[in-house]
Amino acid sequence: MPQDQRIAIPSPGFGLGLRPVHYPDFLARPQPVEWLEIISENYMVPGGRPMATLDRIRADYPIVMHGVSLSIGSDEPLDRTYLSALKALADRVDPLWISDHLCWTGINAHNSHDLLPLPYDAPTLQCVVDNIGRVQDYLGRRILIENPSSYVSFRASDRSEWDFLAEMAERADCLLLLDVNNIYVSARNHGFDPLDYLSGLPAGRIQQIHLAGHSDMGDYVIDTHDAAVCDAVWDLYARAIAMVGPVATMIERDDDIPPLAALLSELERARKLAQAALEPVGG
Amino acid sequence: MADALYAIQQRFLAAIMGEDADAEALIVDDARVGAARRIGIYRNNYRASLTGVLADHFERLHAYLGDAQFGHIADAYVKAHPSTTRNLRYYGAALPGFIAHHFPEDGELAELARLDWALRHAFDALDASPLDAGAIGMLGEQWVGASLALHPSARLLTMHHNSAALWSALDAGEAPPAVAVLAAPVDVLVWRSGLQPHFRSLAAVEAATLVRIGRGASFADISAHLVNEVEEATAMETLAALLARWLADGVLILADQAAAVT
Repeated sequence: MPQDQRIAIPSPGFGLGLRPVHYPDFLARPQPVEWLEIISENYMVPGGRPMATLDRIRADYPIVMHGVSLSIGSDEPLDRTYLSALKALADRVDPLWISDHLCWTGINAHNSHDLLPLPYDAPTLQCVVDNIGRVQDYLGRRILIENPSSYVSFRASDRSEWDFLAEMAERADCLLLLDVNNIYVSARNHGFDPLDYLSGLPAGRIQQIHLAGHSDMGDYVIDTHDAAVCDAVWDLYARAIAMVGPVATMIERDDDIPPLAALLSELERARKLAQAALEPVGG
Repeated sequence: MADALYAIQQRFLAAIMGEDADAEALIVDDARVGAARRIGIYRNNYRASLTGVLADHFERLHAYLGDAQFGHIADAYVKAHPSTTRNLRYYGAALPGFIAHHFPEDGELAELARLDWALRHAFDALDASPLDAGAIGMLGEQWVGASLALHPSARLLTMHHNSAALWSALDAGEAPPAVAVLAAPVDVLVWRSGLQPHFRSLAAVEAATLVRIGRGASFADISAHLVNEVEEATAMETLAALLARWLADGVLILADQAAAVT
């Protein structure tokens, strides 16, 4: 792992992605999570139940905002309307931090609603670094950029995703959201060693970790967030914590969402693994 | 070099959104999966996320048509309407018109779609404090002349079929009644009371009065209009009953509040 200083803030602990199906659980009684992550776009609506519920839950839990349509890698001007709605939501929520993905979601006013991968080359790096700078200036804070999962590699790429992320983070002076499942998924899809990926990132800029499940199609793996975290991803998580130190960790579940208790028990496994990974060797 | 990324993105997105466009030359090919299947994953994700969100936004129309027929319509809509919205919440606004155009003989389909969409709008429309008896009391003498507006969640829909009854049966998980053309069109009010979307069918006089309120009429304006149409005592009795219902349902706001929040 490259020499680096700790820029990320100390970990606030373990969290979950807040999903509407679990609103009643969070409104009824305190739940054993230190913070919650919202999908920013779900609350970029004028009012009604989403905003009223968010305000109530925010009164009891710190919140982090996770976006899916900033499109930091689109080779066109940033969407000012989106940015202004994002800032308005941040003003209302006062989040611990704000994140989005190393990806593009659309171009020329057309939107894929998917986190599309980028070619990893110098012009794309310049585009992404410039855009992160603009967003950070506009929001008045560092943002976190998450490593994507992907199914294609562009012929134009001339470097690894982790080299791209490392240089991006240093040049843009941003933070990283490490999705351990995405590393696993992309490693399977593109045939690289997940440990090369982990050791290539600037540890001191990793402020959050995502854990999630995927669908194994045999020849390839799809990042579906509809299943429990698999053993290989747990192993990789333990390696990541051992390399990076304590990092805010959460389970991300977007489909086939189980009762909250099932996610809390997965989160308990993350707590125990992290604790074990951080114990001094031989101590 | 900046043009190169833009060109790659245009070509790749075209291949995801359309079946015909080709972007395989941009992708590293391999024997195990292959460039075509790899791009196919994104193409499938795009179609599945948009048809999925349509099924979510048009839940009762989906229940009415069933998976196969709704899926057929949703696929056709996604092909005809590439997404230009940033937030999936707003994808599907043109589906009612699309259905009206393609199924002119089955008017209840577009009406169900309009009702689903209006309820979705009511769910997360702008918050505004509805008028209640206390607020009217505070206004005192200004009340009768104050310009009124409908709550931001409110929409009026005109139904030519028994679509409201179809929707209610589908919502209750019951077999919908047979489609029927109404003897005369009926307006339906869709709105949010507290955090809960509602709708109800309106008598002609209530619908006409709410249209006037939507244009900024005051209580004095709507009273004067009704007195012109029916005998004064009847007009006052009707208005008193309507006003009581609107206040209980949270349908009205002051027009200056509407101006402030929009």
